[in-house]
Amino acid sequence: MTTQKTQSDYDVVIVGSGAGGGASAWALATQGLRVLVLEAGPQYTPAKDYPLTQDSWELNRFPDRAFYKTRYSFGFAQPLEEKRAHLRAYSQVQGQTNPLSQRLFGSYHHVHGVGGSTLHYSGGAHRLHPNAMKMHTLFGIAADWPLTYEELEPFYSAAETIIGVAGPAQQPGRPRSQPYPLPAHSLSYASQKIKAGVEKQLGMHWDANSLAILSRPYQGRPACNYCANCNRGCPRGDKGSVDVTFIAPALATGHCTVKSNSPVVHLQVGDNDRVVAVEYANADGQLEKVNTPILILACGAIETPRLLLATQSPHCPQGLANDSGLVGRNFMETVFFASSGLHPEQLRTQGGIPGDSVSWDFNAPDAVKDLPGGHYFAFNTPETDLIGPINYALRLAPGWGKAHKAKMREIYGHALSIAGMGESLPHPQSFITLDDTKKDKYGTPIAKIFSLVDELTLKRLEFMRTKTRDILQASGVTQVIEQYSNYDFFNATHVFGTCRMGNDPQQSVVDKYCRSHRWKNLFIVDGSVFPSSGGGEAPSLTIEALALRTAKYIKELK
Amino acid sequence: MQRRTLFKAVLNLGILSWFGLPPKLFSANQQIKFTSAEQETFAAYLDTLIPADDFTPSATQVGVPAKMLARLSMRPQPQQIVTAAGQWLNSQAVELAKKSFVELNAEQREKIVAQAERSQENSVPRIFFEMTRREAFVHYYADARSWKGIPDARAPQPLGFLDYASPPQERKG
Ligand SMILES: Cc1cc2nc3c(=O)[nH]c(=O)nc-3n(C[C@H](O)[C@H](O)[C@H](O)COP(=O)(O)OP(=O)(O)OC[C@H]3O[C@@H](n4cnc5c(N)ncnc54)[C@H](O)[C@@H]3O)c2cc1C
Ligand code: SF4
Repeated sequence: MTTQKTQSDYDVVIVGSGAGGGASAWALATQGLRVLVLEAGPQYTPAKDYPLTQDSWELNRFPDRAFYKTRYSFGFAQPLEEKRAHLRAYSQVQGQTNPLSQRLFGSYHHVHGVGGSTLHYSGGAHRLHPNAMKMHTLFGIAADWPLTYEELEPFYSAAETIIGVAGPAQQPGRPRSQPYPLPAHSLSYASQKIKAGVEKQLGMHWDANSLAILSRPYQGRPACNYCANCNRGCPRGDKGSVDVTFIAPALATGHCTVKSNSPVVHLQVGDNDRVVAVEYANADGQLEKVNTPILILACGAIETPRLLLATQSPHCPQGLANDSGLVGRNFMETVFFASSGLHPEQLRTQGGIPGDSVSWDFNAPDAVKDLPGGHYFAFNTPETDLIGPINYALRLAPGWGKAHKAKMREIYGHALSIAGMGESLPHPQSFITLDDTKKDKYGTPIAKIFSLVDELTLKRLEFMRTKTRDILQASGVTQVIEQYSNYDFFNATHVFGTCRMGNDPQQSVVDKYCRSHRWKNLFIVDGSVFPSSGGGEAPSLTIEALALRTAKYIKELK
Repeated sequence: MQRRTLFKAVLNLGILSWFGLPPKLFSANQQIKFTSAEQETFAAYLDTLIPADDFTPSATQVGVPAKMLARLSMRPQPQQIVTAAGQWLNSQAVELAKKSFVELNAEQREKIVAQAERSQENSVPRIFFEMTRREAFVHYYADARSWKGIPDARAPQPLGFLDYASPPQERKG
């Protein structure tokens, strides 16, 4: 394939239009810079592509089309220990989920499309706990962020305002300069039950979550109607996915162009430590080149390091921006435990919103003795997908025949699920590298994911198992009928760390403005720059706040 | 990893859990046609798994057997299992009542299906039972006719669940 033409009409080229890329595009375009966004996936039309109105709605996941997906393979499969059998996923109806004696590789869950993985995210909009950004200073683990919560705070507020985050008046541990733009959603009936139970029996706090889901109409978008299906894509446009919050207004400035179905396949470096161009396949599959006065990589924490590692030249024999050898290292993933059961009362949990209520009690990184790193617990029935008759029939109602039908009518709407998410800490056995045998259709090696659940994570999973069970019990559920954790499955929805930010060029890939220490026109703005993962907080808002801060810096450089 | 073990691993996963595996398991193969006797046995078996009751129709009445056979006929291993299981169902029927499975009454069929459910793990009837139970429920409950009598079972949009915060007894739906 030959490259057709080279364009040079833009001030900034952004690769990827997810949380990082989309927010960067908005911030740069509104400051008057000419921005090109190259996005591997398609532009979706929500009401057509995920209407959620058909009888078969439950069979449709987010409709990722096969235009282009991050391809990856897996390394080492971790053996599972007999003494940890209680951490393994099981269902009372279906038995043990993973029958093998080694960890199974599921997926790196992501979406390629204009809006990136936020298209199917659950809308959690969290600020990091300020101390979660100082893990090295406080506990001697992971790395400190090269900026403080206070420096990031104005950008958190700005991002929340653009998105229309709905949140409570108080949220522990996170000082705010202004209230959330929208009031919190009322707690669902199920969450009211949890709150009453855990406050009385466990002395815990249980409050409304902060969510990128509109509780009132906002800036031309409607309020949520509580269909509980954010993970299948929001057909109404009230969920704050990046296509509606950042990309649409960026396009309205007239300074931003988005090219969908346009995967970037090569980065071209030149003299003077600059990236001179990127090559991408256009919507017709032809290769084109565009010059990059400034390049922002925002492809997510698997694809960004892959592109960098695959860019090898005499200027950068170990890969682009990899003088520290840390591109792809320090990979952190979702640390997750969910327990589910049937509540004796009809709760109608098939309606509502994912994660409408949470406890921050164990979120400070020193909240649990001898277990550094935070956790957060939330109502989780929609994300566990126990919200439709098919999943009830397969996962909750045993048997068959007329008795099965009767059971369905008896239990439907009773499913209650609680999830814990926790800090993921970097260690040498979890990393991303290039696969030396498999290549994509452009001849570039695909990413290879190495992931190991270390001792501290095992301890954390034990804690989250106990706590999710306690919460279920306090809410009125007497028996756990399904549990799921990342002990025996690799399944990551949140990925971080593979291009860590920091002050020391030997210990990090980018600086505190997400700029490569050496390649002065190269910025990385996505989950890969996190030096630590946070204590289970949802990452998109932090990625977006970092993007707004980086964009301000880029404008000042100009 | 043994194919059968992997097969069970995938069977066990919630079909749509966001943390589940992709459901692709077998590559497409040349389509075979099931005989009409095989099709009848299969339909009778599915109507035993999902019979009609006071509220809702049977598997056959909402077209589940046809959908399943169309899919199963594309995949070599399930094809063989369906054929072998059909033979097994009929041999049990002969043993029980000297009839074919289709000719049995509901109670007799239930006995045989319960036997398949209790069969040894990895035996043909057990694999057949697990494979078909799962898929039959998927097709059946993807049809609104199966939702009658289940409180508030409906497609999530366009109505949503605006009364999600009220106690169920105070809700309209
Ligand atoms: C089921 C689920 C629920 C989640 N829930 C939440 C939640 O409630 N709250 C939250 O904050 N987060 C949530 N997340 C995580 C969140 O979606 C991600 O953390 C976030 O979107 C990551 O942002 P990013 O910019 O790093 O990458 P992404 O959003 O994944 O964006 C990367 C973009 O780059 C594009 N791209 C990749 N390679 C190329 C290439 N070579 N050329 C051009 N384009 C390319 C991709 O197509 C994609 O659009 C959830 C994720 C999942 C899967
Ligand atoms: S719950 Fe609300 S935000 Fe989520 S998909 Fe439904 S309407 Fe959209």
